[in-house]
Amino acid sequence: MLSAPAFIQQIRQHQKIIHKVCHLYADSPEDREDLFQEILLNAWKANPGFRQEARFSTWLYQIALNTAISYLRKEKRRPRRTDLDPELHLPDAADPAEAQYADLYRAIGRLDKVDKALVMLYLDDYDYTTIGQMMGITPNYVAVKMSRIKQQLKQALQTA
Amino acid sequence: MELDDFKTLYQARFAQLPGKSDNDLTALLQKRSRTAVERIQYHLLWEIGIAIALALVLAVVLLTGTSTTLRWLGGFGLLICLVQVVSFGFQYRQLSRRLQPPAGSVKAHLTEIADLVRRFAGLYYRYTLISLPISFVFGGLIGATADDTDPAVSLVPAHMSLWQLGLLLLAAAGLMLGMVYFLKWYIHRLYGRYLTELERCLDELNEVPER
Repeated sequence: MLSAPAFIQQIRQHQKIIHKVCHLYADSPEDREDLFQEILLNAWKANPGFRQEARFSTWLYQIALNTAISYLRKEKRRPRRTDLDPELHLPDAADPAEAQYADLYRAIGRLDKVDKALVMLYLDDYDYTTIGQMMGITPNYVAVKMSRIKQQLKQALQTA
Repeated sequence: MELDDFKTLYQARFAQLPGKSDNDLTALLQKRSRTAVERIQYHLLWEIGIAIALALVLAVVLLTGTSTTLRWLGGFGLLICLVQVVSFGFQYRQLSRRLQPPAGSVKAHLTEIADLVRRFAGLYYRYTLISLPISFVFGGLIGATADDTDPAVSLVPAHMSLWQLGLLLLAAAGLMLGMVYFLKWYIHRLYGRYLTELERCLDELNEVPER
């Protein structure tokens, strides 16, 4: 378990993880803020069970994904797919790489919740064994799913 | 663009994102959480509150009512409310004890949440479906047979014709059916869509063996 100041310090250091999860799982800035808060509160509640020898980033990633996937959206806010967050994505129209990046980001955003989590962990360089442990599936199944997702994203880009 | 080419750009974008300060994070920690399980706990507390308020009203009916039938109905209603307070209070405690922070695998976490939601929805449905007819039928029957001069009973003719009896049974069946459909709709509105979403995610995590 971490003390309150040590916990805050660790969260500040690793908050990019929470931001990444919030940007992919919540559409509006209000939803992102709510989800950020929910992840933070869940991490704080789970803090007594945190073992110092474990990697804080992996532990936080696990809590962030669990919270985002099981997040109960406020009823007043209908799910909607907004465009890319201008804070993160300012595609230069003249640059084809930027446009492709934006298209792929949108395609990832349209994946289902579980596939989105797999892609996020893959993009953060987790190996299939660790991804499998975090998701509760075998490394082989992670490989199968990743292969399907890559195919799906390729198709989505072709039709974009 | 392949996913591996995307990776570099993706990491670079998030590296530029302005972060929250220690004060922002501390302020967020002071706020209330709204997870699905906490929402169930909130609903349980709300149901307990309503049951207590209703019990008070029914106690007044029981003590001051002039109609024997209404007093019996009030008495059974009061009993049902007290059972609800005790049983929902017990469920609340069980839920608080079982509530684990989401630090396990995604599959384990989703399975636990889906189980809790399913259990609560089932309990709420069964309890309401059983308790309401019991209080109406028993309270009504005992009250009506206990006092023939009761003004509430005198509204019902002593010797009903076949069509009157049929109409009464039809009205009772309609009331029951209406209640069942309303309950189903209400529970689905509260948790049905959410449960479907959780089950869809769990299906995605269930490995289908290759043939």
